[in-house]
Amino acid sequence: MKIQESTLILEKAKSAIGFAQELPPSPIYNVKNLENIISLSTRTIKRRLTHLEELGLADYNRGRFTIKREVISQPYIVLRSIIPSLIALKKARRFGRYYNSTDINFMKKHLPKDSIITLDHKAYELTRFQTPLNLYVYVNDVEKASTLLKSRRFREGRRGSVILLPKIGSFENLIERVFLDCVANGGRNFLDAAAIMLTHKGMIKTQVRFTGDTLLKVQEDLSDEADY
Amino acid sequence: MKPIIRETVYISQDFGDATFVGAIAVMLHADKQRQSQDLDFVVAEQISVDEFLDKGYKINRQKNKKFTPRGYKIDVYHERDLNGIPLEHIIKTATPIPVDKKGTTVNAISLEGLIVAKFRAGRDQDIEDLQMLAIRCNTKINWDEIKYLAKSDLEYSEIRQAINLYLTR
Repeated sequence: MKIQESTLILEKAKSAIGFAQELPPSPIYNVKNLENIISLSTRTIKRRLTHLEELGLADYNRGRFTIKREVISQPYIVLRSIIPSLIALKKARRFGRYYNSTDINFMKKHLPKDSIITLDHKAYELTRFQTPLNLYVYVNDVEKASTLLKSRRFREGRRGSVILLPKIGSFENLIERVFLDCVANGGRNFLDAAAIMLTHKGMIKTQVRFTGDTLLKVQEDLSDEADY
Repeated sequence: MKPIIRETVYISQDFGDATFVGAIAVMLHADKQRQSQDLDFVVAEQISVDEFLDKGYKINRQKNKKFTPRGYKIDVYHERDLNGIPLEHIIKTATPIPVDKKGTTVNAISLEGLIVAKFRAGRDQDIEDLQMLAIRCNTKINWDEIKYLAKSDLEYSEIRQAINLYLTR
């Protein structure tokens, strides 16, 4: 994916992102209540949410929705940089068999050629900050990798811990890519991003915005070994 | 047993009424979640520096940090409320969670207290924790207790809507 393509996708979602950036902080929003706060019709709000959902930045169901606030509040240049990660994550396919660490061990032993591990496991390898949970793997051919898993009685669904991602965008600077994936996925991965930035500063070119609280918490937990 | 869970057992042996809160409590209730190497717990009465040192804990006075004898950072709460939930209530309603097949348990903040605390914290990582609790513990939630802990009917209703939404993900 080229910069121009990312720019185009971001341009299309510009008003939706602007809408999300204006929302007051809340773990959940009700579309009906929002009509009074921001002067947009229900129909327009839903249209904005559809755009955000296409990028994995919001989850909507029956009039209620949640957003990835820390991701959405990033500057334009950061959002443009994470578009390939957002699209790859949106196309992610989850697999599970025993739904425990056995699944992850299996996948680690059977990694397809040229596959790249990212997010939880790679972030843990880089920072030792948070224990990993899911195994996210970029593969050249998602269909082929899923066929292998299914032949070993893995099932595709929403709960599996083995997650296949299509390779979209650049992987030249792998640490930067893992960092951007962590920013794009948000939640606890956003803390991983802060940890990567603190431990691999020289490798990170994208100026992601972290709150002081986030940086302080991560720094405190990272520096434990030296303080002990 | 995961090393971090083993650590909660050791801490419980050292300080009987220790009730775990925060990310480790999510891990104890959901039996799954990511966790940094720090452990937060609540105690009824302040633990003195001498008691910590006698039990082999290390204290970095300059940085005001405490570590277990095995090097895990701990944050101990004994007077502050946790996101508006009184500490006495957290200890009184703590849930003993089995951590092995021999009947060993450690105390964690109740599932309902944890949900309310995480909802009020409201950061993206708290929402992810709430999603995990919704998926793994939905059938165990006592909604009357959530109603009791909520500041208003509106907050109760928002928590209920949030859990239902997170379940659909």
